[in-house]
Amino acid sequence: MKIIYKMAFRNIFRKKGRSGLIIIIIALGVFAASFGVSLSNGWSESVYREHIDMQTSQLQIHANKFSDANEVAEFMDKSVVQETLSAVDEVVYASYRLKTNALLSTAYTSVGLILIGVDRDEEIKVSSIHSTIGSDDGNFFESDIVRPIVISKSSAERLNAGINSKIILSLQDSSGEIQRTMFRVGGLYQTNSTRFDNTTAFVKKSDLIPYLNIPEEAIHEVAIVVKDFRQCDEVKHKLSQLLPRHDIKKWDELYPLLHLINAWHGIATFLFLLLFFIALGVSTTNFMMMSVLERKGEFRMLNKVGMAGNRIGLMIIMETLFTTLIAISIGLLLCVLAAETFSKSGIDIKFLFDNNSRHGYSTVIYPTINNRDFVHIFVLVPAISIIATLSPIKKVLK
Amino acid sequence: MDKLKDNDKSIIVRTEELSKSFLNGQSIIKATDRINLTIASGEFTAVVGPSGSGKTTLLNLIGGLTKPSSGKVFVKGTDINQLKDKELVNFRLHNIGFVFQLLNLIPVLTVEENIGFVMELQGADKEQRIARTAELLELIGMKDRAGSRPSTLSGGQKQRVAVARALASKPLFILADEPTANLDTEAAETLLNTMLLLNEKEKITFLFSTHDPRVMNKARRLITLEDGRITKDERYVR
Ligand SMILES: Nc1ncnc2c1ncn2[C@@H]1O[C@H](COP(=O)(O)OP(=O)(O)O)[C@@H](O)[C@H]1O
Ligand SMILES: [Mg+2]
Repeated sequence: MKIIYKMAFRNIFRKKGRSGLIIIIIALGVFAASFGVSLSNGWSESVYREHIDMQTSQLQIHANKFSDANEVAEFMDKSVVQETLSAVDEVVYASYRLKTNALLSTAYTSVGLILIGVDRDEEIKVSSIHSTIGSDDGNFFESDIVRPIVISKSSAERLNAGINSKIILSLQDSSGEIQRTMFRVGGLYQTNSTRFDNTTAFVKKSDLIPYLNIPEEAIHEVAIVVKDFRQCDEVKHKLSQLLPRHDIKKWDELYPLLHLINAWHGIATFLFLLLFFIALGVSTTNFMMMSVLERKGEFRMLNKVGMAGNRIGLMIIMETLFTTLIAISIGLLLCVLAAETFSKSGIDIKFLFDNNSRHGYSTVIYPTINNRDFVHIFVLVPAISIIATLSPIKKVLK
Repeated sequence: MDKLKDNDKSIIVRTEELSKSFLNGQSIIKATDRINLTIASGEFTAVVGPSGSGKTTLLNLIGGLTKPSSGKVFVKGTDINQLKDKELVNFRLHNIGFVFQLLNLIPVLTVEENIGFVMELQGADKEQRIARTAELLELIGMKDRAGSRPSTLSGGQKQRVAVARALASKPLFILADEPTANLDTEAAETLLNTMLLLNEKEKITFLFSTHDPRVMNKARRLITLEDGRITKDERYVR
């Protein structure tokens, strides 16, 4: 039956202009769809990365009763957690933090926020906050200032403070006593999330512990990075069993909005592709209808000399299939090339937004090709084209 | 002659009171009217008659391309209208070769591939196909055009290729509806000579229609149709 495939293939080149047009249309459609999906993947991934990187880390451990109110007295014993984590292979980095509410005051004003006490060497392995500090904006606990505090640029603005400015920190220790100390601004960070920036500041753990009235080894929060991002659930499960009196949370529980973004992204991608597939199906039907009806006489002749209807149908389907496969290959190739081109520099979509607001994600998108979407396109587009060819076939075989 | 039974091995086609009517507005046209006819193996028969006399309809009925209004067509004893659609296509594929007036060849296939096409549908193996195609190209005198596309051929060449294609499958007989209608005199003559040669050398049975007197003169049997009825059935020794 080789002849059927031969004929189908050559039929594509019969009306070069028209076939070329439909191939270009499908190829551009495939390109637009796959590149659109790549951009949206890249965007959602950057949102994740950013939130996980800067804010939630992959997993966090707290004392069971520790809540959003950041109760100083609800601490854990570092050595207990540390020992447990060292037994779990998948855990590669952990930062043992203190966490408390605090009031920061300058002569100008006061702001309340969450103060995180960190060990620099531990913290830089689980979070990229340190990398957002510009060269003129100090550093992340690297200089020898006494009691440095790292605040966000927006907090600095509100406090009317700059590098080296004095800031009075007020907080409540575990017994409810108010403690006051002076810190100096050691670094100014800036993430893409205004919300996070307005509510978070960092100090050294060793500078904070004397004012909390808790044991030397006490910690409030452990931020964890696991070997492979996909192991989060598994590690969470393990840790929950090993540390039953602790509260283990994954990134999506720590920041439920991410979950929503994830779900919404899936729906949007699906709808987008669905729309594309429908448009594709309709145009393929029209194209094949045209191409098939004008060869009605030829098909009739083939049938007269002994080519059964199902073979004619197969030939037409093959014709569609070859056409689409050529088009898909071109479209996906364009997508790969475009993604490659922008993979280093990214595409800045800042022009879409109001210049000054930040929404918790970078405006630079790095297109990310997801093999699963490619497979969908490679399987679904031909399948849809074949379905779209059925009605022209039916029409011509009548 | 018409009394011959199918058990006479030489009988290929027999029609029984074969009629086909068309509705034309209010009136019924009897394109063929109770035709009884037998075709024996090796015949070289022309169906003649004025335009509209029912030649095409008769050939289409015999080839199983049209269903009769009444009457029967037997091909080698098979009542072809008892076959299901699919069986009929298959029956045509293996038993009847067709040459049409126009649009015989597949534009995207070469001359060689067009000739081999029906054999390929039949599932003939490759060596057999190549050998047979070469043989036929030789017979129709078009060996040098084996790789050409039909669009580069003259009308006469196209019809010769169509004859070769029809022959390739080794059918019981070949039906050709006005095969020379679009050819000039010389091309028509060449085509007829090719068909005659095949009839004599390969004992191929031809049943063709024409209203061209020069073509009629080559026939060994002339069946004359008028208003769907056979008015004359004459044999000639040439
Ligand atoms: N499909 C059809 N519908 C209606 N009338 C038809 C059809 N085919 C043939 N006829 C009529 O049947 C008669 C015989 O036609 P045809 O077999 O084509 O004659 P010929 O081939 O001898 O010119 C004509 O009167 C023609 O108009
Ligand atoms: Mg006719």
